[in-house]
Amino acid sequence: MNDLNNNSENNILDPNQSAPDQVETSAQPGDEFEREPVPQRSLLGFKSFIGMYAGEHCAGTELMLGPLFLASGASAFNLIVGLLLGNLLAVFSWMFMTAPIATRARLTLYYQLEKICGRKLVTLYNLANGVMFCFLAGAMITVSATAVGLCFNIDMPGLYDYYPNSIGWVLSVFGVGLVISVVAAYGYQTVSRFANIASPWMVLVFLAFGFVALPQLGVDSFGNFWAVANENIWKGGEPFEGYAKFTFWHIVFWSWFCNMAMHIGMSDLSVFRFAKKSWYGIASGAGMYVGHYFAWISASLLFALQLHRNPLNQDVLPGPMAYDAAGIAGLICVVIAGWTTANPTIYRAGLAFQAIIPKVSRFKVTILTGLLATLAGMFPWFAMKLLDFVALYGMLLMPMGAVIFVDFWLLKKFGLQSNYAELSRMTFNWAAGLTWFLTLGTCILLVKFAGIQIYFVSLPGWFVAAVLYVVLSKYYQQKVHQSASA
Amino acid sequence: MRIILQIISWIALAATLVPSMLYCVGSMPLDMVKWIMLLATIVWFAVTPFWMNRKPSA
Repeated sequence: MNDLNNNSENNILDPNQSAPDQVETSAQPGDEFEREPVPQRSLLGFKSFIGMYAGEHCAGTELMLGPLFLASGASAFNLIVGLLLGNLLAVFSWMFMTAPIATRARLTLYYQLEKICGRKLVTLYNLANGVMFCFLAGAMITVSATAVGLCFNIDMPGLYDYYPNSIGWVLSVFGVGLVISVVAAYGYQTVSRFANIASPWMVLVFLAFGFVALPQLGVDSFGNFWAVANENIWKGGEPFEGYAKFTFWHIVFWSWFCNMAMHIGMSDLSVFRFAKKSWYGIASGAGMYVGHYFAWISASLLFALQLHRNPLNQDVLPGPMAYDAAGIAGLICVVIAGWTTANPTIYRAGLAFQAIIPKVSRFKVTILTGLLATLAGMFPWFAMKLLDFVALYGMLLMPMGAVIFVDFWLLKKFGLQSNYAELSRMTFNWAAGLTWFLTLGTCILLVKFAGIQIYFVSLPGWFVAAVLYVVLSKYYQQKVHQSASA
Repeated sequence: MRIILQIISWIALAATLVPSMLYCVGSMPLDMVKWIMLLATIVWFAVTPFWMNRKPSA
């Protein structure tokens, strides 16, 4: 289970596996179960999932996201209560959408999709997934590079720099990206073990950022926290230029959908197939509250402190902010947070690409993927516009989650066949493919012409995908039967 | 031996967070917080790999 390298050897690739090392440590070596249900003997206990989610969702990018809420004009109530509700909805999505299918089918996302969509459509899905993973890893490299840049006094990008702004910045990102890529290609498992060790420490450093920032912002007792929060920290008001105003519902929907690819998009089927019970989905709460909730609030406190000292300094640079709060330990935290999360992301992107070009070695593909992520990391757009990028990422993969949900629970109730590609031996299920493309087209039209912002569009998009898949399957399955019997 | 290493790790972990809490209530200067956090970081990464992710010896 734990040996992802075996995946590529067998050409049975699941780029969608989440933090495999932490979940899979107690499974038997070599028991990957990519093309069979996970047997009873290999199921894992609740604690494995708690640890995995707490670690995975305390990443370098959290240090960007917290400040970006402030840049979007979030108020204290909207942020604190909105994140509470949004993260709860995310936990419910894992618990009631992903885990029930995962614990019944016990298949990887890749294999489940292959049964429904066929190998060629899954390859296309992998390409989309791989590209998005690359850009996400790029943002993580950007975060780490801000810490390196501080050490060498490099001219770093500001909030509105979307392109590389100096040679020093390019070299800084290149250095970080090259190390991460080579390590991902050579020593994925070593870094994964290191990430496991770093994880509890990292969570506490994130919390320490918040505790250090609070008194400097004027919080001197529990009693005056709320007043200071409204006056000095999350003031609400107008967002920074070029940023959408984040209301309560923006924050709820954004925090719900920021991991949409994993829960509603069903990527974490690969994780929860090892769960004994579907209620283990609640373990995602460790990531949502210890990781996202507190980490985002702490990171936004760091940025609030920077603005409090100098309102003109709107640069969102995790390195300098963390150094200011916690000294060298803070700087180390930024480097490690970016590195340990970029590493598996590059690895997964590499696996996704290798599924498309299986003849090229995993080493070469991972290096090339890492360099592509490094190139993306040189463009601060991905980090500075992370709120938008993450919403786009979720939207892109959401339709396939709806396809899996409908195929598993509803299709037979409409008298249709589930797992149709497997039954009909087709390599491209057009009903699923068209559902994906048409849903994305509808979402884009809704954003462009109906005034629905990208942060919300995935909700109606999911229902569009669900209806489309039923209607298109009815037509498509009938047509295939007719041509088969002709 | 394992239990001793674990205790040292847990102390290091506590030393990562507690100083910032003490600073928050005005009981410790920020410079000291930063130094203790750095020391705790070094201890955590120096000690923890010797027991975490390793099976206890029989």
